[in-house]
Formats: sequence, structure tokens, C-alpha cells
Amino acid sequence: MTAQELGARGILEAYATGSLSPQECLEGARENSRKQNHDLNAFLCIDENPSVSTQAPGLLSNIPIAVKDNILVKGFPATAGSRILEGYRPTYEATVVERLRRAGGVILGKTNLDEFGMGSSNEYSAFGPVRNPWDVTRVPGGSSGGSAAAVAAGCVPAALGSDTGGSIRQPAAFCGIYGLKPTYGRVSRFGLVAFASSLDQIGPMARDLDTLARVFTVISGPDPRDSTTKPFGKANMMDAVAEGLVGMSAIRVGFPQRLLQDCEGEMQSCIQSVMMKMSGGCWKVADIGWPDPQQAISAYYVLATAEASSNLARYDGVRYGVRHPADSLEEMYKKTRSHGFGAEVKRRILLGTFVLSSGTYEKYYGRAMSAREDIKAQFQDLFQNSDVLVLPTTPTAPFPLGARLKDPLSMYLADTFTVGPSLAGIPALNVPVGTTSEGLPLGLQLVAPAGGEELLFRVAASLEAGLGLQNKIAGRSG
Amino acid sequence: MELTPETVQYLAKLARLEISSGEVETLRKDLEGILQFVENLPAVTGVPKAGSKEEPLVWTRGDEPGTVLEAGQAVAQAPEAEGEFFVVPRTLGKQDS
Repeated sequence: MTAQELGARGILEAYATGSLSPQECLEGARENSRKQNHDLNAFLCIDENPSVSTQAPGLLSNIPIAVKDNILVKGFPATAGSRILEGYRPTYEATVVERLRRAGGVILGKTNLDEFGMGSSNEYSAFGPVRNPWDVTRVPGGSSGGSAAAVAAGCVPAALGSDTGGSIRQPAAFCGIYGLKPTYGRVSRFGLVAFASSLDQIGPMARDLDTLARVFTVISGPDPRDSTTKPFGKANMMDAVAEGLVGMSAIRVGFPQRLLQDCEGEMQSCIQSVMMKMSGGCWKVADIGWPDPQQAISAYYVLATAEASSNLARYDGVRYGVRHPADSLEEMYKKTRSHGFGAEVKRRILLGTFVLSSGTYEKYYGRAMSAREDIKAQFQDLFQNSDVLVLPTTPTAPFPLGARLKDPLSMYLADTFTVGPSLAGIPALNVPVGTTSEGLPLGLQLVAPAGGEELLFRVAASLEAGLGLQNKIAGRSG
Repeated sequence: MELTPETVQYLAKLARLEISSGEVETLRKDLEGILQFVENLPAVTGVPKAGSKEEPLVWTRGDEPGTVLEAGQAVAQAPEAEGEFFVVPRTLGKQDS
């Protein structure tokens, strides 16, 4: 097995036996990333001289990690995939990055994304689309498509993404890797470029569960610099992964079977086959309802665009990023924003401005807020009779580049199954459970109540063992 | 919900965006389609509003001085700055104002 194929534990073992040195590993990751980036466009920037960590040994000692380019890392640019932040170099660092470094992690580079996290295919980046390493004619998902592609292609064993309505889980599903959207408030957002602050969460992406658990264990926990973080108890998820469900009594798995009607045929058969294999034993499966996906998508796009229109008001050409010259302040604002933002960002800002306007506020924003509370209550009811919920992460396998660009609504529907847990603030994990006949990845989503990440890791470990899932590097075709 | 080109231009003005006449029609159609989709949101009644339960959405920190960005750091990434100040086009004292 080459260094690129190893997870964090394998790399640490190789360091311990002397079969691999940290410098070799980091340089190998840099070379591999450079080479693969010609085809994938997954990285916006790669460290030319990744330095061996000087920290005391930790959970991620000298593990190369990629970070989505809407998370601030000192020493690297941060564009958030937008021309408006071109040339910006942060003067401070995100809490999650400080924690990665303290645990010995080495930031290898910054990954491509849909501009400000707004997109489901990574085609809305100002710096060109990312390509799916399983088939370069297809999208990697979005908005954390660069992180997902970099991990799937074996450039790094782990990456950070951010998830507002599915932006970690959906690209993880499209690229055949694990991706966790944590409970809202479990991971600090300090240093994350804000899109929709009541929904945004940073989370880990990896090819194997142990690596995912290590990164989550390191980055989670309250942060005095983010007043929406809360204590959720001590997190050591590696033990949960190692133990799985062994020794536990049966868990109640809720499966909203009706949702399969909205999925492509191969997704339906894949999920059904997984449920057949896992039923019995530790899994006690029951058919359940699910909050109306259309209502969830509607509420999500009203709330997220409203928050985005407010959050993105800060890009005015005064404090950071680019400025378009003009004679008056008003003209400078307009020209800077009009030249700096891409089409999808403008569309969402206008939509958010509309739903917050006097006269339309109650009909759209007010109703969306009520719908969100209703969806939260529905999830609470579902968890009365289920410990964990299981459903497809996406209705389809990765779609071809360009297929949905002309119809924004069809792009929004790629988030059909992921926005519900986002609105409810509960954790959800993509598990790469299968492939189509063409070899394209298919993902299954596990959902738990707030603070239930440990159970997600245990259930994912039972899936990994039950289905014989392995840490695989994408084999490219097309 | 039908949107007029004038409404799109008004929204753009509120959002400090310049929209060319060529862009208006595309945006109008896109926004109208999305608004038609989200109009299915029912008027839900009897649902408590966010933050109204015992648990507050955010906590407040103690009223103690903490570490903050120095002024020099804050302006370091500005497109135009002088000393500790951001520089913007003149807004007062113009000859024609």
C-alpha cells in the first residue's frame, strides 16, 4: 500500500516503524496533489514547502490535511471561491485550524468550492469547476467539492469542509468518501467565511472512519470566540469507531422508505440492498415518515438566502478583497460587488433581499422560520421511536458537468435529502455504501439527534464491517 | 408571485448591485421560478418561535477585555488604507454637493 492510500492511523504506524518519514509523506502528498490538480482543479493553492510539525505528538501528527478555502488559515490566501476576495490573506486563523495544528496536523493546501459555499456541483467557483476523480466528466458535488475530490483522489487522507444545506454530505456521497456535518454548535465557526450563520457548520471528510473520527475529535468543542458553540461532552470518537455496536443492545433504525420513490433506480436498489443486509442483528429497522422534502428545500432556500444577503453585505471594497475604482462611495460599492460576485451569488443575494423586504417578509421569511421549527419538532418526534435515521444522501449519482447549470432550481433539488437535518441542527454522516454499474459512488446518510455523533460513528462502523467497506482511492475513467 | 423587471432593478439597488438590462430578464425568470417553488410554504401555526424555549440560541461572554485585532492588522488587507484608517472615495466636501 502506498502512503497516499493510507489513512491517518496507517501513516502514524508507518512513522513509528520508520518505513515512512513525515518529510517523505508531506512531500509525496504535495507532489501527488500538484499532479492530480491538473485534471481535478481540487486545490486553489498548495503549500510548496510543507513543514514537519513541531508540536508534541498528537492525534494527527504530520498528517497532511486540506482545508476548504472559506476557512481562514494563516499563511494561505482565502478566496471563498470568489473574485471579490482575490488576493486576501487572513490576519487571523480559524479555531478549527489552530486545533488541527495543535494536534500535529499539517495544512497542505486550500480547496476549491462553489463561491461562498453556494452550490451543489462546484461549478459556481470563480476559479473553475472541480472534476469528480471517479469520472472527470462529472461533478464532484458541492460546495465542498474540492475537499471531497482531494480526499477521494488520495491527495490527502482528510480534509475540512463546511456544510450549510448539504455541502459536506452531498460531495462526500458523489466522491465515495465519509463526510460528517456535526451538530450545530459542536464545532466552532470562528474563522469560517459566513454564508448562512444559523446553518453553517465545519466538518471532517475522509476515506476511512478512524481518520474522520480523529479530525472530528480534534476540532470539536466549545470556543469562547463563537457564542453559538456549546459543550456536548468529551469526544473520543476513535473508540466508538473501534467498538462499533459490539456489546450494545439492538438499535432502532428509522428508514423513510417512501423517499426511495424520488431516487434513481440504481440508488433505490443500492439502499434497499444495504437495508436487507443490515436488518436483523443489531439493526432493528422500522419504516418511518420524513419531513416533507419540498417544504424543507423551500424553507432552506428562503432562510439561507436571507442570511446570505445580510452576511455578504460586508463585501463592499473597503476592508478586504478587491475594490473597483469609482468616483463616489455608492458607485464604488456597486461596481465592486457587481464585478466581484458571480451569477449564483447575485441571484441568492437578490432572492434574500426580496424575502426580507417589507411586504414579503411575513409570507416568505416568517413562514420559513415557522416551517423550520415545525421540521425540528418532526425530527424530535421521529427520535421518540428511532435511535438513528437512515436514508439516501442524494437522489442520484454524480451528474455530468453542465447538466444543471441552466436551471438553478434543479441544482437546489440536489440537496433534497440533506437540508432537513441542517434546518434541525442535528448531525448527519455520509457513508459510501456502493457504486452504480458505471462505477459512480452512491452514499447513504445516517442522522442522529443533537449531540449524537458518537452513535453515528458506531453505526457507520457497523455498516463498514457489515458491508466490508474499504478505504479506496478513486480510479479515474472518462 | 410575478416579478417585474422594475422589482428586480429595485432589489439590485437595495443590494448595491448593478444589473445590466441584458441580465434583468434572466434574473427575473430565475427568481420567479424559485419563488413559485417556495410558495408552497404553509402558514404553520402553533409552532414556538426559535429561541423562545428555555435554552437560549447563544450565550454571552463575561464583560472582560479579551484579545482583539490591532488596528494595524485590521487595515492590513484593505484595498486602500492610511495608517490605521480605511480610505474610501470622498463623501463630504465635494464641490458639486
